Amino acid sequence: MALLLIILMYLSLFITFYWIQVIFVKDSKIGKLKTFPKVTVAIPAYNEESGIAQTISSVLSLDYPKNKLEIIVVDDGSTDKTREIVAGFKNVRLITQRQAGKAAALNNALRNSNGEFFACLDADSRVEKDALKNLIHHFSDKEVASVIAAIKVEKPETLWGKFQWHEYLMSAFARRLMSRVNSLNMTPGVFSFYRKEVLSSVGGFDEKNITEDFEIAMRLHKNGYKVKIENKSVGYTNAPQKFSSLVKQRERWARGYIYNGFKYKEMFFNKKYGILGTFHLPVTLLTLGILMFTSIFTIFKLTNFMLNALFDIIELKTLFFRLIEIPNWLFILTLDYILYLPIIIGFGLALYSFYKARGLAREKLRYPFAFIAYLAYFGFFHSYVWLRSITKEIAKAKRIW
Amino acid sequence: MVEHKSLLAKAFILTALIFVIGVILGFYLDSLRSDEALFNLRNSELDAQSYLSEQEFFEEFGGYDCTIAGKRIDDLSKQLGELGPYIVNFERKNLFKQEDYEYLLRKYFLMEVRTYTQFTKLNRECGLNKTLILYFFDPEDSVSERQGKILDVLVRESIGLSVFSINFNYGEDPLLEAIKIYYGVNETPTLIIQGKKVEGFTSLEKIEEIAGANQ
Repeated sequence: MALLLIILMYLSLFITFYWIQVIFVKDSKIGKLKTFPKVTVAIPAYNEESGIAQTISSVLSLDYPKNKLEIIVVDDGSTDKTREIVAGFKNVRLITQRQAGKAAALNNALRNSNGEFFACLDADSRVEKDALKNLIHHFSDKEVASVIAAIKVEKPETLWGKFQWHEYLMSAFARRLMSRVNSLNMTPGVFSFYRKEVLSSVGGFDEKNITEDFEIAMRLHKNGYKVKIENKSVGYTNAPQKFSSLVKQRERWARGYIYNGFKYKEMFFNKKYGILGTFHLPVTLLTLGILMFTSIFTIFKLTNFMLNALFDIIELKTLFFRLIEIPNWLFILTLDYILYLPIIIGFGLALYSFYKARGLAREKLRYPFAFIAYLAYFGFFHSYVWLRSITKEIAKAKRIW
Repeated sequence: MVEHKSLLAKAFILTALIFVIGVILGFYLDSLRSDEALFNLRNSELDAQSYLSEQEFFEEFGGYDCTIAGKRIDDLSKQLGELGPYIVNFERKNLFKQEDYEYLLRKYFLMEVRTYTQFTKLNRECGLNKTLILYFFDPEDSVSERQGKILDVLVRESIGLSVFSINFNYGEDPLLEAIKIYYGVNETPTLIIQGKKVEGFTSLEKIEEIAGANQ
């Protein structure tokens, strides 16, 4: 067991060293589009009366020529006042459809759009004023089929929300690194732009997919296109504030990853898909495996330790406290440095990455307690979600949005 | 793609470097651990020899002082008591020094038995009224570990008590088998309190009760 742990820790360190080096890789130069092209921003909405106005307002406030900006809201059979609210906005097209899901709503907007570029924006999100202007120039590279914005969490209220505030900063940073080596395989719902012609030619969004944002990114890569991120373009999302809704969301993501992983299995270890195929996809699987194994191992060890401590307290009663003493210095000599060294260095590199992520996001260190808790909980939470998802996939439980 | 290969190569080199540093550090600490254990064991051995020489001297020339002898052997048993858990723990972490640890464990075992024998003899001849406990343990067994903790408290808090720990599974010296047969020890933890065998986990109160009854 110790040997396996050592191997896994060094594999993790190897992966970490790879990505740390990418921090120092220069971004490829971004050209400039001669004119601002016409763009369509599609907002799929289902019962979004509480936030849709803010979402539309933020798009209307974009620093972009108004005659080049088309806004389409697709109402996916809402039963609240979403339609009435949208109808109150000038220069916003409202399309209604029977409830068919987000991907179908996006495809509906795609068919009805007039823009050269097509963006999707979740109805509970908003974008910064300069988000569009900053990212549109990436399309000067003809191979780029999609450009995504960096996502931040809007005003987290609970501890779970604050965890995600940190997590989203790290995600935006990680996506920047993936973008640099052309292995970014995610186009989330918060202000992801597509070259409309390409999006239509590959068939639009998969309407039966629970993670259509991941699926379309994989399909774009499969068809030889690039996906980029522009970290100066920022979108804000309302992250789940409760543990149960967070688990539900992450389970959907994980199950979507598994489903699409099988759908695009031929891309794994395939040289044709460059770094994504030969490195990123297999390494993601490996990392998940390591995460789950080490989490289970740690939980097992911690449980064992706590049970022993409990028995000690029961058996030794008051003696337990009389036993507590400062360990002899010889204790230092008994640490397993071959195992601890990659863990300590890996942890240091993770902290450095977070420091860089904060810098990239131009954010101060907020919610420090949540950050420490996030570092402690991250592995266990994701392992829990993934184990749940794998179990449900094996049991062929229905995939729901 | 060329850059990717270079990144992979550098990541591999860095990882290998950390691994090598870990191995070197492990080797260095291994040496440090065995040297530290050997140093302490040698000191205890010298103290034991000194004690035995003292015994022989006074037996030959007279003027034997039970109080001084009692204090000396008490110190010796405490030294060994502190050293024991470290040798066992160090041996578990051992990477490259198996032969050294085999020697250390055997040496430690023999010294424990010798000190226990000498202490028993002194107890009888001088009427020291000391409680001597021979403790058979299994380093992999949590009940033994808990029993060890009770004995730690007893040793720390009782002036008139000494514990001699013997690894039940240590199979490198035939003397252990002889002792196990002599006392009829078949399981762990087992305590021999003033010559009386007590099997299984024994509470502090029970040990004190047996020790008191067998004084």
